[in-house]
Amino acid sequence: MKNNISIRALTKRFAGFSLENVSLNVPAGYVVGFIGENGAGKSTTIKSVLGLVNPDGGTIEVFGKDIRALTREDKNKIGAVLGENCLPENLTVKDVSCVMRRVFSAWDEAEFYSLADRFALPRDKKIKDFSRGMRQKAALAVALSHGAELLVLDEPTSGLDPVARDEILDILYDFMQKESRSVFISSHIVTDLEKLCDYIAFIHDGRLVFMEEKDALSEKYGIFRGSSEELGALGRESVAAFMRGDFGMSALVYRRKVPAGTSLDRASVEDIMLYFARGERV
Amino acid sequence: MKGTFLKDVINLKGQLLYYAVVIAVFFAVGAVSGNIYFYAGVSIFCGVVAPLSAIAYDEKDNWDKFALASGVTRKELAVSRYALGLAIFLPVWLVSFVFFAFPAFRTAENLYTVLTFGGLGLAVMDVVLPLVFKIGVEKARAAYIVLVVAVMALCIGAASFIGLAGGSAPLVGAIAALAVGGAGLPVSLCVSLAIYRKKDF
Repeated sequence: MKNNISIRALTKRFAGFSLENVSLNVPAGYVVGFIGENGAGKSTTIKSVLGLVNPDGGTIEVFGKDIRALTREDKNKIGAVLGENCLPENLTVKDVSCVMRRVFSAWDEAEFYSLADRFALPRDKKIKDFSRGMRQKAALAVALSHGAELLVLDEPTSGLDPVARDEILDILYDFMQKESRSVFISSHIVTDLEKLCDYIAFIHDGRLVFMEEKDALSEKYGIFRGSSEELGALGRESVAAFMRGDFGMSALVYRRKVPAGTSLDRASVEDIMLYFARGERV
Repeated sequence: MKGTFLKDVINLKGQLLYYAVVIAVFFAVGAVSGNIYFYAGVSIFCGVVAPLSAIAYDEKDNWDKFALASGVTRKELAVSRYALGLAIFLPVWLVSFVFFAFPAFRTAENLYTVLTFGGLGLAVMDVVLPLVFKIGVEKARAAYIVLVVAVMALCIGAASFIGLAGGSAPLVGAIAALAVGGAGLPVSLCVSLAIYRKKDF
């Protein structure tokens, strides 16, 4: 399988935080959701992929090339949305198009205006007068208007209402209609990622906990609820993490390892993230 | 770099108009009072304030992150700030020579003043830009206030030197100022590039 992003043993150390040995792939034709709490290392990983931070160790390849060897044309094939503010606020939509024409060699003005119209973005209004959702849509319109093969999105739906979030997810569905394309998207709104993603990568405290096919996650994990004695009876090897509650215990368990006939609830991606992040390990 | 430069010009459109008015007022004051120092002094600040404002906007808008992710190089980002500073400073400084259209201004002292202040303008840019790249606009504000005082002291010192020194000393001083300011540009750019290369965004 061809990877549009391949990260191997990525390490980056800051005062008080370090990203350690992160390895993951974003295959062509797939959407990879990157989840984790605030400060877990999602943005640092994404910035490393985009060449915004200098890693202390590891390698990153994009389109099969080391990121340091990417040409302008290669980078032009990456569409990036980095949080809420990433377009100059004093510019109008028309100004943005004028500037981007000089930034991207394959800038498609017609596509940009078509997306701006679809998102109901006024052409003569300054970005600073846009709502948060409109800004995100404007940034996404830019990312989708220069022939990108890879979208790298850091919290693109953060702070948006459900309708705006759904619109953005629809746009990403449309983008993925071409097989060679990929999306690497971080969010802590896990429900959005459950709708969109083929793979989920979960990072906690600077370390990658897992990267799995989304559908395989619900087959792999289940939620067990019961007393501590009942949980103990399942065996240590079947429990990934557990939490103590007022009415007993709950645990994220490996479906294949629990005794046949054990009653388990479905584990959502959010459940899995919560147990790994906050649960106690056996 | 063209995109970044154009973005700066659009971003600063309102301020550029304001600078134009300030420059016109100082030119008029200089012309009426017969004192070229007013205008020469303001030219130095225009050359520094414009790139500083552009960098402040970029920090707020996260432009550097976006540009780097989109294929603009770190070198182009650094060079674009120098280009903007020079694009503002050089025309404003060159307008100083318009004073020489008036016979009353055609003195050696005024020529030395214009040349010296040209060198000082470049030297200030040489110092300020790497500093701002290193510590950011917010932290650089305090340093900038110190720099304003230092520049004023330099201007006064230069004016006194030109007025008091005799013989060829003011001319030598003016040429030296221009040489230091001009030769400092590539050095300053190298320092800025080194800072940009190591910087995490």
